[in-house]
Amino acid sequence: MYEVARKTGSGETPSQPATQELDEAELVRGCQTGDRPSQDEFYRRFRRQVAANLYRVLGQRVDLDDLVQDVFIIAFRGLSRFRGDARLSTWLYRICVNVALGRIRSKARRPPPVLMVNPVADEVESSPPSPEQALRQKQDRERVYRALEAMQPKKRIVLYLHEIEGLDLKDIAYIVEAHPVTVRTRLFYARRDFYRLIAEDGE
Amino acid sequence: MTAARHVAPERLIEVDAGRASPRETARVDRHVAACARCAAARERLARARDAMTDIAAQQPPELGWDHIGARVYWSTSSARHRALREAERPWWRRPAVLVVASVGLAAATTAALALWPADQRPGVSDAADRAAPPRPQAPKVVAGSATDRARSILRGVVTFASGQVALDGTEPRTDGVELGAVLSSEVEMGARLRTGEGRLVIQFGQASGFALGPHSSVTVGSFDDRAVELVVYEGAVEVELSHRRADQTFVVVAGHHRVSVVGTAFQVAHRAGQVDVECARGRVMVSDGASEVPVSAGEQLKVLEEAVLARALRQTVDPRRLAALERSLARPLLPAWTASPALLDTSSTVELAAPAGRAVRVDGVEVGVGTFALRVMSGRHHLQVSNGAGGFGHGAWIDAEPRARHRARAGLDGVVRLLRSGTDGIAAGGRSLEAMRAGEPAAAARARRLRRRQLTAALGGSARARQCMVPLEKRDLVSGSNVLFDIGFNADGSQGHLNVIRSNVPPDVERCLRAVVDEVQLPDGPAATVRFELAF
Repeated sequence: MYEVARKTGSGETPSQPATQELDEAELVRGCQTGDRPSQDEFYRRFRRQVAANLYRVLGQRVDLDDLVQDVFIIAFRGLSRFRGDARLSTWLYRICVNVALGRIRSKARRPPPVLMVNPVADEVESSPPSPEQALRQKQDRERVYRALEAMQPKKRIVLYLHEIEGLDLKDIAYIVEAHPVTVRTRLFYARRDFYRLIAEDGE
Repeated sequence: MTAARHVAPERLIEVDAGRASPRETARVDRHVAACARCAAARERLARARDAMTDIAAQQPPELGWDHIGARVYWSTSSARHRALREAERPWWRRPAVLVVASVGLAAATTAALALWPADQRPGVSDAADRAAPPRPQAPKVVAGSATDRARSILRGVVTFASGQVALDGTEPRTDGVELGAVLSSEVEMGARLRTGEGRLVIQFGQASGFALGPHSSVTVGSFDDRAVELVVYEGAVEVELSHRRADQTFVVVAGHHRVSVVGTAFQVAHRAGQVDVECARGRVMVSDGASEVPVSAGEQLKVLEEAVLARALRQTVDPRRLAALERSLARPLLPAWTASPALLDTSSTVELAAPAGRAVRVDGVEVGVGTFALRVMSGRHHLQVSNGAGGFGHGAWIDAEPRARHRARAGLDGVVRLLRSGTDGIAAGGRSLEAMRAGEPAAAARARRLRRRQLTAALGGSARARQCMVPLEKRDLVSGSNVLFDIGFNADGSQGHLNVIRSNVPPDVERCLRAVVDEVQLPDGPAATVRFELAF
């Protein structure tokens, strides 16, 4: 009955073409001055990217709404300090990573769940594979997330950003706020740990 | 390389990625061919790489974007920060409190002066009176009397009656019961309700009710807002309870057993010396005075009247039976937003004579079979009767007015004809709304247009309507909100009925807007029923 959210929803067809055309600098300026249409556009433009980052790095949609909310609250509060030394999307990556790290660390302090959440249970595929294929793919993805969860958070994030998001060392260094050489070293050990965990999984 | 020294996983990756030398690749391939463990590891690594590509292509699930957005804006908005800062200030320094306090003080003084009899008001010597020793106080009311006074007597409204039913404890007549008269009666403490081949539904309080199945006899013991007690002598009673006060008890007595309610929906049957309790939702406690047995949702308890309750076996209700019970419980208990006494003033009755066994729908919901009388909220309702082949015809529309009695008859073909009240003549029955609209005189259409214009003028820019939207405004969800009303205006401009047809706002906002529309009084003019949308 309550459809206000859907109706007022910005959706993917924004009703304000003027703000859609804003470039990043204008968008940031608008957000910094508290301009509501700019904040709307900022949220609309990046919400899917933020959700995708968090979803892929964590491998589950549990509390995803709350985490997306956290990222945007941090972003809006921190936009006044955004100096433009990186792309806006990369800057948001950094916030996502910090939020995800917080989540991973808090999760590690809690007892492990009995049942692993299927990370892609609600995914809709364009051409559905056969049941056997689907099961196999699901098991493979679960194996990857199991291995990632067994790793140290810092290594996990670096590996995720490099291997899954495909970012280069410089961007990763900005996001994790470390020197590129440190990132390279961390990535080397992360890969080694990850491949060993995968190779030994199921033995 | 031997099986004892396996290939490191990172080396396998290098080889598979083509980053190793041909010599190294051949050496690894030879080892993997002879080593099952390394072959399995190589397979797992290859699949993991595919899985990572797969993960990279994953799209996030759809989230409640607008809801998240609203929470973000609210968390970061300056209004929120102002509110937080305000909350940190001492309460006596808040301007709003000062205004409210002074207004409240003035109002209290005015009210006290208005309510105090003039001859007992203190004079100018009030200050001296205050200094005088206190006067003897009136004797205190004993607690018991206070409790009794606090009790509010409930009155039940019959919302559905079919077949042979009686509200006075007499044997239900088999030669035809005046169902309309049954529906206009109220049920109070001490009422003895009986059914033959029939069904009776009574609603009380805020959307709570109970229904008597066929061949049932029930007495209403206590019936106030503190305690409700139903005594089942024979047959079955189904109970559906809405939210109750914490200190309110609801008990069904069947033989030696008392079923007290913890939950919301259940049935107690008392037949041939056996008590059968089925719980559809929530939980009930069955007691025989010596022991108690809980029955939870989806469970049933069968116990002979003379048997020991503690040894009775709880069973799971058959899913089909449970579904039937749920359907039965959901039926004619009106989803009224008013308490039962007000229900009498705002609703009307519909008496329908339909062939035996034919299902009947009101507003698309199946409510009964064959001939029955039903209480409906005032407004326009669609009545359909099964045509015998399993389908439903166009049916007929009823413009139900408060406290009115409407009569209809359905033939074997399922065609519904509305009967003029008090006569057997056929009114504009059996026609669909479209047919009625197409044939209506131009004067009716003009009347509707006029009333709609007047309504628009009365509500346009209503400050109260805007006030209703404040909760949504805080979340920036006002735009696109709308509520569609169906309003019947009498010739004197008063409202005959007011129904919400469609709404996309939360229930509290909807109630607020309904109250605003409810207060509109138009000038004298033609009677008309209009559909009116409040859109923001």
